[in-house]
Amino acid sequence: MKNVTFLDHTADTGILVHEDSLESLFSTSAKAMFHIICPRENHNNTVQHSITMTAPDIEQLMVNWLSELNFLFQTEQFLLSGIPEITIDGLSLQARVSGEKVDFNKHDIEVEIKAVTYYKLYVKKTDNKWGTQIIFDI
Amino acid sequence: MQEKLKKINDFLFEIPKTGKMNVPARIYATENMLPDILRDNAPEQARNVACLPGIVNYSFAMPDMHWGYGFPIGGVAAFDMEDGVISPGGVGYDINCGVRLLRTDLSRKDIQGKITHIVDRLFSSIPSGVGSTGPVKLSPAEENKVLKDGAHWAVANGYGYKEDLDKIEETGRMPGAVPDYVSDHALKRGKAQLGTLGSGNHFVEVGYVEQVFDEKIAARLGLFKDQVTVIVHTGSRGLGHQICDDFIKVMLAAANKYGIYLPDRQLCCAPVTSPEGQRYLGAMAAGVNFAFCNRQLITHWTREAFMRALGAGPKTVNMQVVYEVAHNIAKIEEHKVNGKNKKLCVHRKGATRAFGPGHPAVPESYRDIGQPVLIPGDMGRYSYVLVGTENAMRETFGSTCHGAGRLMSRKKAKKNAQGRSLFKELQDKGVYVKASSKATMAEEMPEAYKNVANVVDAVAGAGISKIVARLKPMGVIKG
Repeated sequence: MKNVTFLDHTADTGILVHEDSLESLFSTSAKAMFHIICPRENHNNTVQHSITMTAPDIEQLMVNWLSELNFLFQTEQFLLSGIPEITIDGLSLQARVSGEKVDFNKHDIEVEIKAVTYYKLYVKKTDNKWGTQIIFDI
Repeated sequence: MQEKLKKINDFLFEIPKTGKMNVPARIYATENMLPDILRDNAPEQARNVACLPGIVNYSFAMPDMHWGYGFPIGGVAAFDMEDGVISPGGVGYDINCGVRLLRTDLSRKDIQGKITHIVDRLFSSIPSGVGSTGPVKLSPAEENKVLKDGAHWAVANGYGYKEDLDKIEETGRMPGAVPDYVSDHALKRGKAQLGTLGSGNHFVEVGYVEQVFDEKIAARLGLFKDQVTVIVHTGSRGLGHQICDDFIKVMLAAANKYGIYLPDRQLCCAPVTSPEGQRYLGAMAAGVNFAFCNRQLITHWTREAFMRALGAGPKTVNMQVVYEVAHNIAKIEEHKVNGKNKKLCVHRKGATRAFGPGHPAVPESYRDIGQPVLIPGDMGRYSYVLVGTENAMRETFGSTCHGAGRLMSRKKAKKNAQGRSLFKELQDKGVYVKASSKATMAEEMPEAYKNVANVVDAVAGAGISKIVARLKPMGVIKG
């Protein structure tokens, strides 16, 4: 996956993402999380969700964003497809995501993500590039 | 960072107190286990826990320790009620993940040639795997009752027997649960998942007593050689995961408010007696009860699956609960500190309570032998039954290991599994496995784990548990 490194962790798994903008960083991180859940890309856009949230800092905003998407997967079997449309203004995020409901005949669901953790978490800008490291509890 | 360890004895090593540590960290292990332990970040995590305020004596790690997030898996830490803290990260996302051991009146030869029927039945009657939902439909009012009453709700609704309850930690109902502290998100995640096994390392395993090490204690637990047993390993599912997630946010703000130094944000916490700490305890207890109820439901369906597969009645199978332990939990317990009884908030994350003989929390029928401790291994080798000791009460706040502990990352395990038929390999070893996903099968293959025998030998060598019996798997269902 472009701009994503999947990290090896004894019990869990993680991602390292680099992107040009903060919005792309959030968007690619979401795609990477769904790649862990279901490695085969799905292409249907039959379900849409709007997400609005704020957080006390940028790292918590990232955790909240991915946690909300995982909540949609957990409760509505939502699988992300395509690129989320995201606007970030300070510590407020507005997004529109598209995807489809899991079809167990078509989608090979590999793991369940219990949570997005704060362990070794960072979201930062260095040399005009945004980077993040996120460890998932699986 | 490579830790410099001080050897205390053959089974105990210490990371001396340096920097911001309030106490030293102590690792139970044998010398042979140390290279694997030191290879990942778990010792650093044990050191980080030692920095939290009000920690008493030591930050402990058990021999099955491995790299977690925040606390190491296999971590035990007790905090003073007055100046200590409670940390959701010290319990983990899977609140009250735990293990239940069931015994039967059946001998190995009674189910010869029938193990595939039994496992297939279990697989069709216990929802497992990612996205599985349970057959128990709960109204909001009923879900509240589950959160307050745990396994008692299940028994009252026809899932199992009253006698089952005595053999569960906290008798299957942790007091102090406050469903109002559980968020709508958590309730929504929990509602559909009650009575499901989940995925990852959770399983139901049919096995037999392969070896008895202590005849007298085994007999008291109703265990005998070649007897058919069942182990259920699961937790509080999405409800628990969400409670932890919600309260980590609360605790990040609380740590800031109370000026608590955090070497790792995942260790965020609040004073035990603070409003934030008390709210977490109330919500956590609700999660604990959900998990107790979950394992009780799965027990009920396991009984039914056995009877259907064998065409036998309940008296022939006679499946009874030997004991059930929690291995992701925080509890307010009384322990001796410097010769005086003190109330402490004991966190066990990937560690099991192992109270010694005579403790009032041990069921009356087991009180003179100590609390049973159940240590599942990987699906190809063994699991163990131990009992707690007085030494565990003196040294580790009555705590011991919880399992084999991972050795390989999931990625590495998958790589090692490429081109192999793990189902066939295990079947050749006499273990019939049904798994919801091939990925789980690869991630959970036996060689991805440490040998549980080494883990158990280390805790027995240290005297914090006593080995009673070894169980060998015959059939497993995995999520």
